[in-house]
Amino acid sequence: MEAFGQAQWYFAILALGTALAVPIAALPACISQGRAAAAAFESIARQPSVSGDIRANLIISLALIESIVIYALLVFFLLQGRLPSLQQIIEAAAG
Amino acid sequence: MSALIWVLAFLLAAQPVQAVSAVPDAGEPAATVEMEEHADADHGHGASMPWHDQHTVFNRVCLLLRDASLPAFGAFGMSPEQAEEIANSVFQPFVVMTWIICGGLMVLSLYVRKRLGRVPQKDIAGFVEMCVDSLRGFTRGAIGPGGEEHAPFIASLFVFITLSNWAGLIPGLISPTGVSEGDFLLGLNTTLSLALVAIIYVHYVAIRKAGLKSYLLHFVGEPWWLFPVNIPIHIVGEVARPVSLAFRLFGNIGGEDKVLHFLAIIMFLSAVPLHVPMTFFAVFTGLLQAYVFTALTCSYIAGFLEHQGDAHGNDTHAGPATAQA
Repeated sequence: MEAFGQAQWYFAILALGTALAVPIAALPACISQGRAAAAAFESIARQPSVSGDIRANLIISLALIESIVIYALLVFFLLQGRLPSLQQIIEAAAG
Repeated sequence: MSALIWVLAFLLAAQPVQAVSAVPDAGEPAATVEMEEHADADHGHGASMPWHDQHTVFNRVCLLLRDASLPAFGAFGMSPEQAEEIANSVFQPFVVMTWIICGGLMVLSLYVRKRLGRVPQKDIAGFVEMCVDSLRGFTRGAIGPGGEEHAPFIASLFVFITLSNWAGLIPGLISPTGVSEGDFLLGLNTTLSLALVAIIYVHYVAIRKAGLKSYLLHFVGEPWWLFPVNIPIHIVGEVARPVSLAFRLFGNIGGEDKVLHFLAIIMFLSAVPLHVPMTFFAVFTGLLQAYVFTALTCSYIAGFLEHQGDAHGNDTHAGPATAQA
């Protein structure tokens, strides 16, 4: 790609990083949330009388795991503000 | 019941109009505004347009309030530019929204207080009594046997955060904890303030109830001779708590507000009602995020009050594990 100078490489990799932030964070988060929920269901089935306690702890744990994905979403929004618009890319490619 | 369905239908139908009408002083639909915002990529995160340049309905109300308050600043002997600068930051939309929510809650509380009696009332006073009861039980369960005295603060936190999260779903209002079209990190103001208030309350309660010695010993971990390692770790953990509380609340509510914004635009452009299930989900996650914020604050309080002795000098392990139902 002869037309790719320094700036184009920077913005290309920036765009790729912006897009990959949330999916890469969401994959292990979903796996661990599934494991937490499975453990909660199993313990509720084992002892239904403490289901209220377990439900409270489950909700808090799920929210804590999800907050990591939210941080990745914030990184996405912060990086998205620094990406050039389509107009600018067209102008840069033409000029 | 049918009135509720009408209200819901109105909310859902008005959201596309609200999303599209949130434009700067020009007048193009918001879809092209999104693309134009990226033209200011060198300004930082998206378009940091000052709020007084955006002409949504709510912003116009805030502008009215700001213009009405400018003469009052003259009494303090400030120049008009200084007054305008201060009034610009005082009458920001999310601050005004916070006032509206707090004022509404205060009026509701006064009304319920007047209607307290031997028998629970059948109108909203009875509903509020039910909420207060369940919040008190939740606080007692989350902090432990001595937790009821924290119930006023915890309950206010929960109710305020819930109403703030739901306010963005009402057409014409914004979420103080969410995003807005100009300033993206808007809700971080409110959530960071809430998190700081909660953490200051936690530390204040810890020092006051458990004593300064017990509070400082909390930073020194279990084997006391590991204190060079434990003290920095615990301090960093304490600093991370309000930051994570703030970002979690802002990210969740702001993210779903943004998703709702785009889905409402899609509804406006192509009549695909994807914003309907998302609105229901947003109602649920608004309540859930308030619950998570409040439950985490309670668990921080319980963590500091863990090794507090009672009047007989015994070590009562106050904590969620020993709470009665």
